[in-house]
Amino acid sequence: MGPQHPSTHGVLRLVLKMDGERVVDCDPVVGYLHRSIEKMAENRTFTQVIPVTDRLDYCTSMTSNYVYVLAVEKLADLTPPPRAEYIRVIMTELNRIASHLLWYGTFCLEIGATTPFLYSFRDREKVLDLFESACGARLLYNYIRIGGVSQDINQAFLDRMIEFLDYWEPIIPEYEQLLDENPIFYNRTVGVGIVPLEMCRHYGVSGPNVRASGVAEDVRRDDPFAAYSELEFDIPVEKECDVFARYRVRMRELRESARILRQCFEKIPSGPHGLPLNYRFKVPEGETYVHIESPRGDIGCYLASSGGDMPWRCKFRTPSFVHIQLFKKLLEGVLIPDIMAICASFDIVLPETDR
Amino acid sequence: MFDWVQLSGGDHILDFVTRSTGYQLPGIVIMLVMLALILGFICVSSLVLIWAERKVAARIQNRVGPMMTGPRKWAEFSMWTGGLLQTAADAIKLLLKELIIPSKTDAVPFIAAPILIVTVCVTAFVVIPFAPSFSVSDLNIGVVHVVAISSLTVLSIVMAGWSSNSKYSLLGGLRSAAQMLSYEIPLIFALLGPILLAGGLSMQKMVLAQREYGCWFALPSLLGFLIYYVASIAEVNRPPFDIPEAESELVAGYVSEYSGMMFAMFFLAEFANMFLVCSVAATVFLGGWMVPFMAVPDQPTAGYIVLGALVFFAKTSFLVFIMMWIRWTFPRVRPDHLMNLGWKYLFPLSLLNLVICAGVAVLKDVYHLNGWGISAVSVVSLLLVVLLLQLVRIPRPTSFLEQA
Amino acid sequence: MSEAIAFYLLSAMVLTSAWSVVRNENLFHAGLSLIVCFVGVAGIYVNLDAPFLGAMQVLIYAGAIAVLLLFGFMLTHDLMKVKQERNQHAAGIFGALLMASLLIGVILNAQWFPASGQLVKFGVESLASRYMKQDLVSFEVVAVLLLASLIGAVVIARKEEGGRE
Repeated sequence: MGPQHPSTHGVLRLVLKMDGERVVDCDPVVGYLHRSIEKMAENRTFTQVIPVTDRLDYCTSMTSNYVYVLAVEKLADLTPPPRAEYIRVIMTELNRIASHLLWYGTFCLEIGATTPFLYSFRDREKVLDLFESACGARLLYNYIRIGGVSQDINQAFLDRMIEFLDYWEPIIPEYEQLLDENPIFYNRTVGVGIVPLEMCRHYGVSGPNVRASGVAEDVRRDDPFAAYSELEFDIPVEKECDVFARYRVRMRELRESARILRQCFEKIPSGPHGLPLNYRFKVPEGETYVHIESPRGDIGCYLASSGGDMPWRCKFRTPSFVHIQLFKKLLEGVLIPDIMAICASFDIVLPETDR
Repeated sequence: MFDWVQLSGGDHILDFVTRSTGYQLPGIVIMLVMLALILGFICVSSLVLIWAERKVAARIQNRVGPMMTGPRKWAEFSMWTGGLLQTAADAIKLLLKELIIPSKTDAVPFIAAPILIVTVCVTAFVVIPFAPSFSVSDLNIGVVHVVAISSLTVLSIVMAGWSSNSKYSLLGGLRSAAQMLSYEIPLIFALLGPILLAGGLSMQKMVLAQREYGCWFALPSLLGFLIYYVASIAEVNRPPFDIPEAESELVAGYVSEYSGMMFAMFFLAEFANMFLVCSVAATVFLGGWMVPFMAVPDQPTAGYIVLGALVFFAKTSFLVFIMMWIRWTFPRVRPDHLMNLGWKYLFPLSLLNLVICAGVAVLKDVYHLNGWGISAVSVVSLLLVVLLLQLVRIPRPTSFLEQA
Repeated sequence: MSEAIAFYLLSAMVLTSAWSVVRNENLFHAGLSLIVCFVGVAGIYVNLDAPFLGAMQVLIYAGAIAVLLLFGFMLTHDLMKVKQERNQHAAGIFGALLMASLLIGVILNAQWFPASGQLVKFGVESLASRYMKQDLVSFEVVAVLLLASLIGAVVIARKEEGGRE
């Protein structure tokens, strides 16, 4: 299954050894989208690296920005103002909604139902409109900066956000209606692609994928960042470890994101939206590792600085890279249509894998 | 009492020509004229159906579909009047493309496959009763003729798969052929119910038998209707059973090597086949050209014939619309689930349907029930079947039930 | 008159395709010719006022058996390299002459019309009543035979796949 195929995974190449219809061996080949982001980061100032991290996972550009910025702030010992923390939460959660909607659309496309794709993208357009009004860009935001965010949001933005939530939350059951009660759908997803808990631990699976295997593990709860420690939300957990469970976890996470956004609307304080920093500032020598919860899993950033105004080494631990390693084991003995279902259920994006 | 079964479309044409010019046309000329009419009808109906499919898909998916071709004023008026010339534009484009015959392929099956599939379609249309006393030729083996000729489409797919010269598309073509062969069984068995009730195979006789019974055959044979509908979706290779076309996302499907008009032939045949199976369903199960709640007149009148034709088209179009609706709603079925469904569920249910129809036929002969009586008996027996089927319900995953 | 034209056309079709089945180098083309032959025979049945038989011929022979044959061809590795031996001419001619004399003898000595000289019309109904009334036992025996062969095929297929579903 070559790097180019009509499904929207990106440029993933799976070398499959088949016996009739069953897969005997699977070898994922990555690297087709390698752009040496980490090397580019070494030749740019700390602020200039942020647009580069946008392209790390372009479906959740805010999260990629944030993990890098968090690492810089930890090294430089900066504390962003509380309003900035809340804005970051709002942006991250909106991005989670956009990413899950994109995942839902493409997941249904892989399974063969072409219509839900259009429904989810219709609503994703509204989220992208929100982003555009906040920072001027629809996909690659360059918004979360060191010490805060690049521009403040105003009350109109928050009102529009609540308007969107009021319109959209009643629609989530519509997405599920198309698929949940459908015997064709759960014949294809229940019992398929089972990832038992020890396999998750072995490989380091994180995010909704491990929550579908029965563990309530979420970086927002275990290692709170931004304003998550002040917010109340549940962690959806399913026990069946199959494709259907991963689908259910993400649909429930959509509702939790809406809940978080509403709390942010209530609680957001006023104040400055960022620290006044120089464009080129020096970060003291040292190294650090931080991780946050992206819609795909646990994304981490290791940052080493040598005291200058450019990073010495910046490495990203991306969840998609880890999850692709699972395919070798998971795709043994499955039929071709199941390959699509399993690959789609892990929500991998190739830019994150190849960096 | 006028015997509606005796005439056919050719007879009407012969009659018309003889009355207006006094010249007796030889049979072969009438035959050729009728064939040309069917071919024309298939092409026009496919064009319309392709446009309708795109509009229905657009409406379901919250978009508008083709709007740019055709009169702009019409497009501005509403979504349903825009883009009417779209299919004509596509057809012209395909006509103008070069017919590529790859050098490594076997030319004989490569060229024969699209020709065969359209020929099969045209031949099967011969028995469809479009209007009272108006089928091309009302063979006394009507239903079996349609099924037998349609079984040759499998051949066309096999030939197309073979001539693609690629192992994967060959396997894809084989799998599609296996799917179509497996689903012919429930299809035929589902039709056995109405054949039993009507006491014959001729299509016009089926319609008139539904008049005798006083109710559509869809009622005593509801299981048969549903099974026939599902099996025919599989026969026509439509989603959710479009494994051969879905394979083309991963490997080359059986139509991958075709370009231009040859590809258009396959496409045309798919939509014409869809119309064919829906018209058979409308005739056998939904009463064909009979207008509901209106008695069939004793003498053929031009008005009733036209009304009958319109009713027939309405019923067929409704069934075609549902096929399109199903396509855009459901995900694709996995091949082994498909075989499972056909052999383990549809086939036994079609046998059950045969038993129910036999029961209804006996009751009618013994007790001389009228339409309402038969409907009542059918509803009761179907409720019993539904209760029986509760014993084989598919279990649901547990965590699904919690969220509203 | 039209029956005669149809008969000659169909016979030509059947004979040429049968010749192609036997003599064609390309096995797949031979299979396709077999299908043409079957359809031609079905046409002859229709010509003889037995449309039901013709439809069954198309449905069963051309639509199922021939397709199965083609499946077999397609799943054979390197079909085109199958060598056909063509060195049994003497035996072939002898067998053909024997068969021809047998058939010609039967045709010339057969009673083609019943003694009364009336044509008996058969239709689907008469076929059905014969199956269900007079020849019921043989009908059921054939059904059981088919069932047994179906089960046997399933058993063989399962064993070859080594217990896999």
